[in-house]
Amino acid sequence: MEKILLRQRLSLYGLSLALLCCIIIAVLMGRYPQPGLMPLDQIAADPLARSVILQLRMPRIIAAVLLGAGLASAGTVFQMIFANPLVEPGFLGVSQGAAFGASLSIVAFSSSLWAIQLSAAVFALTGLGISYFIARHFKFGGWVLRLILAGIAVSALFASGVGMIKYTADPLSELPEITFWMLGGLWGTGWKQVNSILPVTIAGMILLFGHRWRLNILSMDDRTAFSLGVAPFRERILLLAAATAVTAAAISISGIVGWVGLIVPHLSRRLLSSDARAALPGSILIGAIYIVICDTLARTLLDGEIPLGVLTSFLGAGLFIILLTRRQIKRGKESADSLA
Amino acid sequence: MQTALLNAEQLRYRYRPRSPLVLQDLDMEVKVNSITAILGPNGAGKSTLLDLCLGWKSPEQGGLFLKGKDISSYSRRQMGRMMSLVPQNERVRFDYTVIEYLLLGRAPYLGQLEMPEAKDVEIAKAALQQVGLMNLQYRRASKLSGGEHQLLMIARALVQQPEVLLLDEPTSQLDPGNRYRIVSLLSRLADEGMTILLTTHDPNLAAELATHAVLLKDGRVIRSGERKEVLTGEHLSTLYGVRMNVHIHGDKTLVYT
Amino acid sequence: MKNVHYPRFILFLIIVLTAFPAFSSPGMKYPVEIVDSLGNRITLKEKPSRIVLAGRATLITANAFYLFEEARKDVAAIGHTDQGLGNFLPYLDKDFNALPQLPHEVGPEQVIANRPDLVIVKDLAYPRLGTALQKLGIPVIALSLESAESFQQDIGILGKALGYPDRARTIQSLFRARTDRLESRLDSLQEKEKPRVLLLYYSVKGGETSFNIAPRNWIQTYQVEAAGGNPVWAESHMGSGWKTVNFEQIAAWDPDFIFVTSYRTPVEEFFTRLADNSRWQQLKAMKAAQVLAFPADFYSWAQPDVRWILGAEWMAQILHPELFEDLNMMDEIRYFYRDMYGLEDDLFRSAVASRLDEIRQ
Repeated sequence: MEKILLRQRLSLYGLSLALLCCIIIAVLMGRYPQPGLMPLDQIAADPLARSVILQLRMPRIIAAVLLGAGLASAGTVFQMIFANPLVEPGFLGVSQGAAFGASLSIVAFSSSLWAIQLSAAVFALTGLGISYFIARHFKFGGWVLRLILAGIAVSALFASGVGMIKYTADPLSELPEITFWMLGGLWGTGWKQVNSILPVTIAGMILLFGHRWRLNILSMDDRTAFSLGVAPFRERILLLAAATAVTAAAISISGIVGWVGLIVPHLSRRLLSSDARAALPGSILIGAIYIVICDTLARTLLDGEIPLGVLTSFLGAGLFIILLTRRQIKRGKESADSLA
Repeated sequence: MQTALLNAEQLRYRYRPRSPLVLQDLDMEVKVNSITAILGPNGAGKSTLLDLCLGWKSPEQGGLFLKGKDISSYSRRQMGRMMSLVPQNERVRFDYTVIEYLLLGRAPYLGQLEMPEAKDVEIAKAALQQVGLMNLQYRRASKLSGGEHQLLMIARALVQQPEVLLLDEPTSQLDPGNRYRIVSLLSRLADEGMTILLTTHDPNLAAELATHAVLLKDGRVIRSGERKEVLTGEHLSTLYGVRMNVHIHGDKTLVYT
Repeated sequence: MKNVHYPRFILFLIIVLTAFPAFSSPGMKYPVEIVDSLGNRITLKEKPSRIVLAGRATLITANAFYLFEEARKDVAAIGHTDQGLGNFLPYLDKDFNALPQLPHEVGPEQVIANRPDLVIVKDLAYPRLGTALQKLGIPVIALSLESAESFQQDIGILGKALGYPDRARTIQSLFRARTDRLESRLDSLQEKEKPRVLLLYYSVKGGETSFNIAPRNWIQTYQVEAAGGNPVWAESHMGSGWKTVNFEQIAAWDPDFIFVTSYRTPVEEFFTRLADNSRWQQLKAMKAAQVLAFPADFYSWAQPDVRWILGAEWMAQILHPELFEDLNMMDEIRYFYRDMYGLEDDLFRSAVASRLDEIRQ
């Protein structure tokens, strides 16, 4: 056991170091003054270079860290609580609900960051609740299948809701904002946006982190958890709400960024352990690295901006396919099938 | 004179408000340090009775008492420290190692935000030792054979350091070799002071292992008490509705039709 | 001896004194404070010499910017100005194609890699691109250009910012002369004398064709009104954005004139399909041969680009030929390009006129 714990601890330290390196590279990477790394002497000599780093890149990188850590930890929590390695908040109506809430806020209430975030959170929780409710109440297939099907239906519902809102939105000011949601990106993220999501994201993740071992218990069936002295329903709701709030906060500044919540928990489990005590912190770090890398590519690769959601999906789907075709996850899929 | 560690009085239970009674007028006593087997045909309500003892389900009427106190007066954590369950069908849902999985049994001793420490690891290892799976510490818990899996479940229940061990059909899916391992383990645990309550539809398991038996038919106890008195051909025939015979050979008892 | 030189000396003095103002800078003192069309306050410390026009809808701001001939050389980088029908600006600046071209959705870092001292964006690109650049201390001016008043105001803003207020005034008065001309000739028109007009945007997106109408407050509606027409769709679209209409609605309006425009593609395709379409043949406008393609040279004239005035004038002389008999449309267009862009006649003929088949002579 000690051996295992030591290896996990080393891996986590390694990941932390990797994250630090990614952040440093990201700070220096961009398209000013030319595509690529900014020479260090430029930072000393050029006040514009310093502005670029402080006003454009730093808030964006921090947002990327929060986004990645938040979505990945939420994904881990969802997968544990639903005992289903194939879910992510995006599948259960959470992401689409958040996008719907955000769009609705832009068009109907207010464009203030707090209003958007609140609306996103409310509808994200609603989406989750509806998915769960539907899954409980129809009698076809196993739990895994029912939840995914319900989630797909609810996501589609909210997505069409966003479509309706887009139709009525002002194409000059509101529509581009909304379209941006559906593609996902951190373009235009400044300190204002970072500060608006910092409290919820940090508080949420601290709560989830504190429960990281407990998540294992909560992933067991109700009776077993009960026999272990745990009140599963209450604790699960608490953690799901926290994970949803973190997801909604992230989505409120970045739009829908898919695949992170699905793929990063798998990577973390593979690298560290299935035990959420290690997998959750691992997800946080790997998720942050993932988004920092994708976002840096998004703003550096071409002279225009590539939507972040495109890159995370591309990378995420690719990784998913690779993982699916390797033996370990095949086994995981078998146990998932047997739950059905 | 053995005292009752766990007892049920006049239990009544039904699944839903207007559905028929699953258990009625049920009295049961589980004495300290006994191995009590609940026997009955399929659908007699054995598992439900176990769920009630655990506190997982609540009776419509009647009471359940652990150490003389109503079980509803204990907190869930307290219950978790006194009683543990070995379920019939539980799959390991994630890729835990055996030792990681066992540590989950320490939950009743840990606060919501607490995590297992070295001493919990020691207890887990001791449980592994007890069930004889020490060499499988780092194996994936989902990759165990049927017998090893059952031993793992028992080990996890032992990690809770309970006073009462509940087992739901512990050997029903095992081959004779594995069955033997379980039976000898349970005997040993009882020798070391554990109180065991198990359900089974196999009277031979009761014959081999139990000190006491409860015969449950259609939700009622038709006979309960010491095994020698309860496990007779006459009683078993009434229970199962077919002619049952009991043959005693030395200290071994065999039940056959 | 002195008597002989005196008059020449005085003449010399007079010449110098009158010519002096022409030599000095035409009244623009920096630093200058600008209020752009979104109400942002921008301070320009010196005359900008590295100007970047970027972001979405650059063609609209660029075509307004390029009205200032002297400022053309100060462009450091430019965004997308080709709407699909060709690019006009290379005709105005032979070095245009050597300029760094920025993409449609450009990031702020790419913009500042060109070291601008002024960035001009369309108002809709301001919230993202503009604010990001402001944070870096780069002056950003947002222009609207979405109406006649806005156009006048925005030209004034450009003149002040670029340091050519006189040129701005010239452009403004030329424009006002054209709008005044339209207004005065159509002033006496009664409501019932205004033909019912429908202006449609024919869109082919992703294989799907649709007809769309502009909102009440867009420039397309204004163009029809300025041309002495009655925009039949105006009351039914008080919202925003292009709204798709079906044929039934068009038939219900049954306007006298239908003008069709298509921004990125030539609109001929629509007209060939019309010929076979029996439903359209039933429309009043069709029978009177009054379904016409809206003119487009490098850009359709039915958008907030500077050429909207040409679109209004063209429509006016089609709707009310008797009031504009004296106007030769082609000449008017030629004067426009000459006065506004300084385009010489032969260049006009080869570059622009050749693209305008729709203009009736």
